[in-house]
Amino acid sequence: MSNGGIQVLPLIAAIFVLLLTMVIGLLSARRTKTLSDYWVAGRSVGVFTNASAISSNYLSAASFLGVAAFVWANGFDGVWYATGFAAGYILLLLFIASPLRRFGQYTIPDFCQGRFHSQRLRHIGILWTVVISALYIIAQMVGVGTLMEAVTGIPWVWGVIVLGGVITLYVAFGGMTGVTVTQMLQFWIMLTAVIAPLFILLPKHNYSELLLHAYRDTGEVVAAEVSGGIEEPPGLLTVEGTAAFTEAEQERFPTGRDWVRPFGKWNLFGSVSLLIALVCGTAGLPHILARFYTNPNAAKARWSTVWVLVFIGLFYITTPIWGTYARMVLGPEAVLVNEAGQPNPNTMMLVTSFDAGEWAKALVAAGAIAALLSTVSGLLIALSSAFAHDFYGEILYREASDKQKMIAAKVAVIIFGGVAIGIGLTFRDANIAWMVGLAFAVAASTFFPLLTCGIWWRRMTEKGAIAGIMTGGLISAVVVIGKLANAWEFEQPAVISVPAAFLAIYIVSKLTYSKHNDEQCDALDIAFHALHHPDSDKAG
Amino acid sequence: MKYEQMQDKQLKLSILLAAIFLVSMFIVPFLNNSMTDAMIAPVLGIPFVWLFVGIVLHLEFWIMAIVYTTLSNRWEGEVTDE
Repeated sequence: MSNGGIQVLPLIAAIFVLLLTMVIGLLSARRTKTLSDYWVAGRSVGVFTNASAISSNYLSAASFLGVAAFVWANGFDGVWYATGFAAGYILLLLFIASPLRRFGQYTIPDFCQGRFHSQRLRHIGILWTVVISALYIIAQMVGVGTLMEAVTGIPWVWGVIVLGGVITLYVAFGGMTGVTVTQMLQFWIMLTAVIAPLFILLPKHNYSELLLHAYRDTGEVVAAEVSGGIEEPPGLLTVEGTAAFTEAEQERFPTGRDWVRPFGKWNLFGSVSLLIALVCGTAGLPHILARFYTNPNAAKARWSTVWVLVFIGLFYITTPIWGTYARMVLGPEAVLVNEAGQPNPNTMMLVTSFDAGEWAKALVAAGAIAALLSTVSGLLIALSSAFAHDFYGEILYREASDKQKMIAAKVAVIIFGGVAIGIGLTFRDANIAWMVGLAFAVAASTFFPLLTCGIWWRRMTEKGAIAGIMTGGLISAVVVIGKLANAWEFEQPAVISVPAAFLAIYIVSKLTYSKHNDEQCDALDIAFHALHHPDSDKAG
Repeated sequence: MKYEQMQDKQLKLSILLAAIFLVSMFIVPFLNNSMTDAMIAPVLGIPFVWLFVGIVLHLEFWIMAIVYTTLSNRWEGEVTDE
């Protein structure tokens, strides 16, 4: 079992996904004729297609391989990730998705300006869109090289350049129309990749047997407990060139029954804070929110969210099974970590190649590549729209023609794609899981309170919005800077920053609404009405 | 149905479902902390908390989402029909 050198089947699978994506993305470019096509796919995307695309946009390699690896290393606390990532869509459905679509804009900064009639708030919206998307894309681009090297054997640098180049190319020419089609395809590759091998693995060992063997190192689990018997897992497996579980690492990762028990990774406070970040962060990610603008109306945006919950639910239900299976096959002693101390993302490759055959390994490779392509493409759209639509088209040069805006959009994608590749090459040792977690925490602390209150509270004011988004964002930044400077161990800001953002919105809006004149109040009412009245669908 | 009534009903439904959702999720860490052994007692061969968080919560999300979407779209249809 080696991860060195070229691996033929996974390499073929990766090339297949790359070529398929590129061809479909570029063919879609012919259907991208207007700005609406470029940014919101002409608002003509059906429920099934958009649900698949949203799911694919959301499921990055961190979800695809990372959650299973997290369960493998940390046991139950990893299961929180699997459910917390999905849970955010409930709040998105209940409070945000359909009014946001009904508002009929292109981006979240559009909402900021349109709802509060404030260009200043658009500036702030652009700032936080770039911060959140940049944090996310850095993590993804670092993951691109790592994953390509792990699953295909291609050198790290070339993995980043090739994959980054392909994504940039098809996003630049296809815009949201091209991205929608490719993301839909990528989602079904991903779902097949996580489910199909289980049809071979699970008939061999049911899940309770897997669990028993997963924590067999306690000595409490005896073979007699496993009715029908189970093949003794192979001994310690190691990956070539990678250190196995050291004593120091054993202190960090739970073993034995502790692996099954809660709080293997976080204490009570940490668990609650993580849940807040996952649940609220999902509902505040600009690259996910932008996809709801592509549905024809609010009712379809709602049904899209329902199907997203089903699709990603099916996906995440499998991840603890994968993590448990890996624990059983590889054993706790073989928990492998990368240089940044994170569980090795190679986990699933090792497991599938060991027990389900080479075809499964290739399938997982295809799924992992699809996961990266889909998320990076969505992030590129979010970043480039913040620049080309919100900054260039709405602030810098409002008189620009649609043709000029389209050119600006393509140039922005190419620039951000190039920057993302450069960052990926520079930050090779970045802690991917931490950066993704941070992006969630910042999104939870900024856009989630802004959108929830802005959509449902008629009397929220521009100053209240600015106070909330800046309070949440700055508290997140302070917590992170303090952690980086080793001033404290606390690293999950959401438990403080999210309530603080809501509180700031409430207090400042209460203080400032009474100072509005009738005209300003009417303007806020009209915008509020446009968010909720079903007739807005016809206009939007 | 009038628009204001519909909006009021939608918001109440959202808040009710959100409350159920938040309680069912956020109570789990506290139960884990206070009654750990009971939470990992096997159900169908799987520790209860793994089963609940890993599968049951997803089923709850799906049901809530379908209920909310069906009712919301129906109420909006009644407003636009008038």
